[in-house]
Amino acid sequence: MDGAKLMPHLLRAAALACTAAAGGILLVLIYLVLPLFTSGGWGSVIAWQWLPFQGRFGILPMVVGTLLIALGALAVATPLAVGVACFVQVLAPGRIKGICLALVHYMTSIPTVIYGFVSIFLLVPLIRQWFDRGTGFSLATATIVLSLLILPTIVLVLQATLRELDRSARVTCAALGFSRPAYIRHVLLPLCRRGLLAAVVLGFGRAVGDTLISLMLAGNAPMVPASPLDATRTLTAHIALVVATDSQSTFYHSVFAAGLILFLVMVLIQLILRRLGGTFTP
Amino acid sequence: MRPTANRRTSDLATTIFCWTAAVLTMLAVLAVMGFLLYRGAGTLGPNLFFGETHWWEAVRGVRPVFDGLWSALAGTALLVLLSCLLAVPTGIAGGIYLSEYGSRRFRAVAGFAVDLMAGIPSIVMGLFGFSLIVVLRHTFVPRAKTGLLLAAVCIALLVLPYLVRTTQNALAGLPSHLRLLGPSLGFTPWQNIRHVLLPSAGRGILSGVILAMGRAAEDTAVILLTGAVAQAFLPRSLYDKFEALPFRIYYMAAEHRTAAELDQAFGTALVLLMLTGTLFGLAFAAQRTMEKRWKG
Amino acid sequence: MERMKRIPEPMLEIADLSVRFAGKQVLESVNLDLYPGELVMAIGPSGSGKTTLLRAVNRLNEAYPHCNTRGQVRIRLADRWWDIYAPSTPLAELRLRVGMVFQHPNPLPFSIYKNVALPLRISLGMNPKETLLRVQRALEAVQLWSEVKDRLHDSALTLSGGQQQRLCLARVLALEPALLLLDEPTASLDFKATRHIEALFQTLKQRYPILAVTHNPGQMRRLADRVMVLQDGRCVAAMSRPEIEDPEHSRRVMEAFF
Repeated sequence: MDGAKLMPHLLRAAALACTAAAGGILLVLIYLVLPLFTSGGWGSVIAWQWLPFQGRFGILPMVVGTLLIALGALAVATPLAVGVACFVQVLAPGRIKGICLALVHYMTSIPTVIYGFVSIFLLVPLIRQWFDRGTGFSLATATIVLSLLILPTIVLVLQATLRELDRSARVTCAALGFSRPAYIRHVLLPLCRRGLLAAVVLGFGRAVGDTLISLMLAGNAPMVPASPLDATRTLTAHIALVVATDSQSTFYHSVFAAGLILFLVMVLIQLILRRLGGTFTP
Repeated sequence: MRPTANRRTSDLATTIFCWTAAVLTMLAVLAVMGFLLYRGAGTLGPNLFFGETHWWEAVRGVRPVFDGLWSALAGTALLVLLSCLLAVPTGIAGGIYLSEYGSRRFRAVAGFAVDLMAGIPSIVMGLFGFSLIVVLRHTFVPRAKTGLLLAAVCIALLVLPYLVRTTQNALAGLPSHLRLLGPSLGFTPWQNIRHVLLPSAGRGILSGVILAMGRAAEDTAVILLTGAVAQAFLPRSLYDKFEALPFRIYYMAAEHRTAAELDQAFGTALVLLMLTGTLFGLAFAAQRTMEKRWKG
Repeated sequence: MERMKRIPEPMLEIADLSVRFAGKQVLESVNLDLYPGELVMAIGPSGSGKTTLLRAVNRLNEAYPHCNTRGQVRIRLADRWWDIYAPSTPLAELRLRVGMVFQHPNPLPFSIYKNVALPLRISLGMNPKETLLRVQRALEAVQLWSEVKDRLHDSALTLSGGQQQRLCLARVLALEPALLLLDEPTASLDFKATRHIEALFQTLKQRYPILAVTHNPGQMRRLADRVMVLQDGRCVAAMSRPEIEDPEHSRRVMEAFF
């Protein structure tokens, strides 16, 4: 009986712990970034050059690199995902629908390191050959692979929205003589805008947050790329590179700043998703 | 009453577009898997795991394995086990509380925190763990260093929100008549959860746990910053450095010196893919049976 | 010959129609002819196959899995007979000519105007000017125009249930169908809205042959020219207008099967 009485308290403690953990992580990050504010270190971090041994700790190239790769991946993945989601929900014949959906689900479980690893030996040589320029480790390579990574997120969130719409509108529209492609274009897609936006925002979050693909494929040069075939470095890869290579502790400010930026981007994304309403979990 | 030519063209374009997208996606995934299978399948065998060492001695840790991925496999298994020990009870309990007890306000606040945590990139989680060590070194524990326990804590934090959410969703997805069953029999809320709701939602929660294990096994960015190394043998204590499959793949991709090492890297990648694939299959099956049960 | 000509040809012929869903027999050997100017009602308890009968006419059963249809359904469009289930019959065009109103009002979550206009634009490829005229005429035909003309661009979901159902009727009428299928169109409406819509059907049947289903004997008495009684997927009785109006007779039939 005592145990039963204790349970709700234990459950409550667990729930509080989960909540506190999120707050704790934020607090630690802020604590670490604090010196940047007090000693005016932001000026050195918000700069265009990363030459740590000359005392230049700018991470703006990485911010640009992150944005380019993430937006590029979205640009590739979103139209594909719309096509796949509509295919699965409306056009696919019964069996193929099941297979296709299972495969998209399965994609969410493929480790990112595997995408990176396979691409090094499959895609990188191809890019090097086709364009005959650079090493093949480039913005374009990372963008293509990253789009594959975020594709299932977008498809699944979008398809959940489509499924709800389809349930109510399919028979009505069939009775009105809409062909299935016309139904997709004129009814489903206009009505799923909110779900699509949520899916894209979530996909963007995944793209910004991914480390391994950009770390393994983007070439990691801390500069703003002039062409898609140039190497670039993302914030996530920057953190990994600086911390994992046992750099001097003076470098860490830029890493913590990068971490805080990433964290704040995620807060922003969550706020946007809240505004869109509903729960959009892939 | 024939369709206009215009409309027929756009219909055709829509159809072609959707089919192309689906086929391209499938081909891309199959290419990744096929390539890995093609390059890695030949290496599968006891030799891949234990190298020249006898397997029983390797498993018991009597003799270290130099040229196999046994320590990486064991490291990953330990990591998954430890992080799940930390995260699973907390996550499920938190999910139950949020679904069944929490006030609206608490639910909103905690829900936001959980979503936020789910959104934290794993590299930031790794950075958090790494910074903890830095902070500890400057304060209470001057000799603190990264290692298995730290990595497990960070991975646990990484998968915690998934566990909370899947538990919550599994409970929320139960039909309402089931929710009223307990109270109608005079159960207390906890008795109702314990004897009615949890057994009904069990498979949904289980699938969440398995998915969390998969995530724990595959994540590379966290362990990159919290103690994974390229050559470590079996960890002797919770504070030791360790090897892990995903880290080994990442490391070997850049650092392989011979063709044999590269082959081994492909084998390692294939093993990891099979591991996460199996976990995914289990989770999918659990979820399926759960859905079938309540959709009648 | 003179007299033969005056007997009108039917608009719709259903012959030996059987429908099964996943092996379960829902309709069995149903026969029905529908003539211009009449409103035929299928009546029966729920599960008797009424809705399936309607949906067999515009092949909407195929929107649900594991459906197997046998028998023949033919429709006369512009003096030509079309076999509805022939592979060469264009399905989307067929459905355009067979207007269906559902049991629950089912406006799409667009504006009032777009609900009526969208099928015109997409399925008929009309230009905006024609569309506007057609929408207005359709809304007038269901006596909705005066109620919504100042808020055509509000969401259709802001309308009351009765208004929504009239909007759905207008959406169908705007496509100028050859016949109408009504699937218990007043089942989810209150008394006043029901009477309003029933009055509409009285006038509409002059222009469109109507096949309707209901489970409401009162409605049957008020609207039907002919009645077929369905039970477990079979047609078990039929009544003509005089028989429907004879309270004794129709009560006996109803009591036998309900």
